[in-house]
Amino acid sequence: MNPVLKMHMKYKLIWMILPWTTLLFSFAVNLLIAVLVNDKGGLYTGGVASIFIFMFVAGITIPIQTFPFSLGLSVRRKDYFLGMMAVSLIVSAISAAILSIFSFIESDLTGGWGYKIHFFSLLNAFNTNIIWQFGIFFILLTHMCLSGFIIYSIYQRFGRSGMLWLFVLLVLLLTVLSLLFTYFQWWIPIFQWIAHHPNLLVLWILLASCIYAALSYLLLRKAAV
Amino acid sequence: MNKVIEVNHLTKSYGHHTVVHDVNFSLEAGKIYGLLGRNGAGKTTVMKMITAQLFPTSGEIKVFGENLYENRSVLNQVCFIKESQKYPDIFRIADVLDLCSSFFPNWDREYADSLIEDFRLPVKRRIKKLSRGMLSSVGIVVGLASRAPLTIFDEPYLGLDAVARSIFYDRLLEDYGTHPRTIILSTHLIDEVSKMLEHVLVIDDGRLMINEEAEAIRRRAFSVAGPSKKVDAFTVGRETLSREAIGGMAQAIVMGDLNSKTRSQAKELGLEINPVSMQQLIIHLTNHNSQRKAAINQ
Amino acid sequence: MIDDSRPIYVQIAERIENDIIEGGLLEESQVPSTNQFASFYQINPATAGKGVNLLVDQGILYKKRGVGMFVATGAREKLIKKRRELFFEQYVVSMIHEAEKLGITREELTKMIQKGDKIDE
Repeated sequence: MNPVLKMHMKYKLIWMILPWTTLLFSFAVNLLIAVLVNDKGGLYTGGVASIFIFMFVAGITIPIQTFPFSLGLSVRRKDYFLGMMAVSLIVSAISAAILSIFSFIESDLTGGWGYKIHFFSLLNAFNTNIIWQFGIFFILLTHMCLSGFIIYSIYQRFGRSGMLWLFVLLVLLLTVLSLLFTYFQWWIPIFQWIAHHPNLLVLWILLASCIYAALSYLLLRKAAV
Repeated sequence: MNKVIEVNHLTKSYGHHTVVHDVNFSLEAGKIYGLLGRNGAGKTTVMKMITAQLFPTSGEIKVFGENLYENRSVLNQVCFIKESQKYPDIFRIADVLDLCSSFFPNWDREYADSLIEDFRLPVKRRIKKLSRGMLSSVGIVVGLASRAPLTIFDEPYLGLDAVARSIFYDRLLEDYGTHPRTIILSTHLIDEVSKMLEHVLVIDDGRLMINEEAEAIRRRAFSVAGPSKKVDAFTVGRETLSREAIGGMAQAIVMGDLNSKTRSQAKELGLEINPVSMQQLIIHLTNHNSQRKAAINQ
Repeated sequence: MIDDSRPIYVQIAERIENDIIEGGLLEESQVPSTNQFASFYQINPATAGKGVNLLVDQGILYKKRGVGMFVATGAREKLIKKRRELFFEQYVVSMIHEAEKLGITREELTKMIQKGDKIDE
């Protein structure tokens, strides 16, 4: 086994246990409320977002601790990168599988756990196919993880000033874009486009993930510890 | 090829600030080297560049005859324990050792266990909760048990008491005897390690100042003491590193081999001759207030 | 322990010599290995080896292949002879120099030697 993958196995808590405990706890609270208020009006909740945030956080924080450690103990930068890619794909696949199975149970088997709750089955609005849902969850989860990882990579390569520049640029870009969107009144068309072409959007996200991964590799190859 | 490390014209600058100036040296297999110098002299920077953790501004480095950067087969043969080595907070000592067994092909688990006992390390304790000394001991265990053909210790004993340091020296020499390899010890505790070193490199202000056999360094200087006038008479025409006087007596550190001629000359003047330890010599050579420095710098 | 006064390997050789002269190391008995010397004195094994080789060159020690170093027959006698030659230069001459400096006469010196002899008994 790649020693870097073995190292990530010691981070089960951050990769799997904590995100899933949080998610299931959030689910239990939602279910409890639905039961208590006996609401069968179809409760929509965004509790599932927490697992995506966890992936993002893991993508930043785990390398902070493990990259300098690994390099310090004679691990090749490329091997570190490959290990990180492998673990992010494996964890995303496992979580995506559980999410899509829960979604299937929720919508198809239990009728929203008996209370018409939409906790896991948010993607049903686009497509109820479980395989399709697995694919979407998987792509979104890896995207979150790689977004965290590229931020870490910029930090490790360019330090604090690099971080500062990154955020300045991001803020500028977002401001300009939102001004343009407002000025030309693109907001509504864009949301309509997304609603009608969810698959295309996901492909764009997948492309972005690949670019993040490639950039992270190039940055880490030149990173000092 | 018997060269473990070859460094040519190695330079590292940050902007206009140059921390390593055109350093050249090569190290042979199977010796214990000392990399000595004051804090901030550039020792750690040089070692980080050798292990490709930091990129040189210019110059060339070969380790086991190859470029070490992203070269797994060479990286595997190198273990660098630096003072600032980071370990993930949530790891237990046992986790670190477990991973080291897959990082280093020559890792000896049994030997690691015996070292853990010697240093009384709590293997179940998390890195976050270790004292500075325990953290240093973890580094020493990793460095020794990795049995890497090139093992580098950079100030490995921060927070360790004299007893623990002595255990380190004992284990190092024992294991070096049975598993010969190239070892670099970088430290400012020169007196403690000088007798273990076969060859010494001294870095001062980013420049390689001394590169020679430990035994030869010991013979580079001696001290003479006695009445001021006689000491002065003796030091005329000799390279003197320092001269201190108290009352009518003076003591001077003089460069040069203590051969029988100088010995008898000192004897005739009634001067007392004493050896200068490696630490004393290096302190004097790297003391930036010393005006003699330029003259000695070869 | 080992000090900085002379090369370390010379001091190692002297320690082995002393051990042979005082009977700690008997002739035809095995000498500790280079690594044992290195660990004991916390010195570089190569340096310890140099000290041992110095005695091999003088015929004090000899090597048994695959076994180790042994004290040669007649080593003790040889060493005592060498030390006796050194004794005059190392001890007598410097004693006389110091005595002159302090104004001690030859008679006084002789008396002192006789007195010291009694203390030893």
